[in-house]
Amino acid sequence: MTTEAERLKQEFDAGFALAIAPPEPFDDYLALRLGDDGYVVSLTDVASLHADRTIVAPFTARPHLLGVAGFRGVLVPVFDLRTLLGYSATSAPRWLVVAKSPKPTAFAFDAFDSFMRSPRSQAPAESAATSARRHVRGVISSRPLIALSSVLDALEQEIHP
Amino acid sequence: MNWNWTFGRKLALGFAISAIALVVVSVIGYRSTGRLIDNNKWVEHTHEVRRNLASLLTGLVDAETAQRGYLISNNEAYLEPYTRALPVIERTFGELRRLTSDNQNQQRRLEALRPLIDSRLTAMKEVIAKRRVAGSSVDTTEIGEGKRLMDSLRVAITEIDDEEASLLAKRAQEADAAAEITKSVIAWGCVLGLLFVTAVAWFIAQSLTQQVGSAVKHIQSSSTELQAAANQQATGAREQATAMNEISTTISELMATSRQIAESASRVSQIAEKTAAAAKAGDTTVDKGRDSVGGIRVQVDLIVNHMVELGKKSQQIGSVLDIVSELAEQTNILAINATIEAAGAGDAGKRFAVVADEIRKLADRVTGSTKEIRGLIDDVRSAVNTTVMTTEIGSKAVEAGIRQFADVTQAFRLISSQVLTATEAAKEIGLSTKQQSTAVEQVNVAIANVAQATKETEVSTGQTLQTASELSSLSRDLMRIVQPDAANRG
Repeated sequence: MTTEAERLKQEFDAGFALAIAPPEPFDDYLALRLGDDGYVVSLTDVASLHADRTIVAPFTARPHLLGVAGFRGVLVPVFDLRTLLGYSATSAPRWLVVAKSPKPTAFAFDAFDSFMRSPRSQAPAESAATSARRHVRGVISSRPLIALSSVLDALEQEIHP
Repeated sequence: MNWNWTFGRKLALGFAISAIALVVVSVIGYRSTGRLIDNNKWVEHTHEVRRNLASLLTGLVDAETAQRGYLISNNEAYLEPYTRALPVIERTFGELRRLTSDNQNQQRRLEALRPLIDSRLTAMKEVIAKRRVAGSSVDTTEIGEGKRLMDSLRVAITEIDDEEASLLAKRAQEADAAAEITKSVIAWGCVLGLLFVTAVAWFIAQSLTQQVGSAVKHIQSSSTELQAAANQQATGAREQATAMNEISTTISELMATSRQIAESASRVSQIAEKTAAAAKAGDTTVDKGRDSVGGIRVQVDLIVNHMVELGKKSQQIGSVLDIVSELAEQTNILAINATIEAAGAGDAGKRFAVVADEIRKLADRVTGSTKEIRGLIDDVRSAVNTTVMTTEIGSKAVEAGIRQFADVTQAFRLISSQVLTATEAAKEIGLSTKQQSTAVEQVNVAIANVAQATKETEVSTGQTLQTASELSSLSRDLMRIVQPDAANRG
């Protein structure tokens, strides 16, 4: 019997032999990319994820505002997450996340990498600010965690100082 | 006198003068000797006449004496002198008549003597006959008559003898005179001839000494020059012989080299013929190779077409995969949104959250598989592109190969033509080299002949040198003979 066949046999036997462990509490994240840097946002901060949505440019220019887009019949302002975190906007962002807030707000970014699930025990503290970037609160699987609530607060401060 | 006469003319003149003197003396001496001989002959003739006269008288006396003895003794034995004297008397008288035939006086005296002799002999015969008949008686008258006749005979014979004696005296005087003349002629002729010959000899000697000395000096200098020339010629002949030997050696080497060249040309010709055959075979092989390359070119074109089709199919797969990827992405988005919605639904949404999670996992797997497929398709397209490019390069290489095959074919034909030309050239070289070898052999033979001639010349020059040395020695000897002082000085 070859080594590969032996390994497959052991895995098959283990599947029946091991007791089902109780599920460990976990948190979900979305891994995204701003420029060449990877980030994560907590799924609890996200209302929905979209791609290739039409963004209508605003009549008056405001900082970080790309325009408005329609989500399920609701017009939502779309801000550029890149500029909000200090990146330069080199191209039109393809991906959008709608933040979970009383005032629906969408943030545009360059690329969506994957869905991530991480044990809750590894979640960073609420007040941890481990990066020089604004709105970053800890690291998940080597990716800085963007606090969308912090971004929303900052926008609120800018709009309604 | 011309002093530039030749040696022969001078010798001829000297010998002519000497001969003339000798002839004059000889003629005179001959004539004197002849006269002397004639006188001696006449003297001898006279002596012979006188001897015959004496014999005649002796015969008569013997006959008379025998007759008287017989008369006295009457003995026949005493008649023997008489009998023997009769023929002597006749013969002697005949001889006297013959000897004195040139003298008329003596002939006349003999004519007068004859009757006396006959009378006396007749008387003797008669007395003897009477004595035989008469016996012992002797007639004294007849004896007296006999004495008278004998006296007459003696007188007559004495006259004849006197005449001869006078002739003898005269001829003796003439002989003496002739002898004196001969002696004088011989003596004076000898003296004069000696003086003349001495003068001529001195003259010739002086002349010859000058001329021969000059000629000998010339011969000496010429022989010296000839010796030097012979030495130079001998040296030259030796050098020439050495050079001929070297030339002969060189020609032998050249001949060996020519043979080697001929053999090499023959081998080159054989190799060129084999090369021509190989070139023809190569031409055929190249034709086959060109056909094969043509087939390869067709196959390569097919490969290119297939690869292009494969590229197109890969592009189509990519397009489909884009759709699949987009669908997977949309599914993922929907699953995430469903997860969010399920989370928002609380406990009621947990089961939906599980389904959404499974859908999201499927979408993730589809996305991952799609990425892998895209990577594989990219690899395939890259490989196809690379293969197409490589195949196109190969196709171009095949086309270039076909063109090069044409060039190679042309080159093989050119090689074949050149090899044929080289073969002909090699054969011509071989033939020319053989001819050259034959010519070199002939030259070698000629050189050997020349070397032999040179050796003979060297030998001849040695002989010439020896002859020149001998000539020089002879000229010195001759000079020593002709001019001792000059020879000693020289």
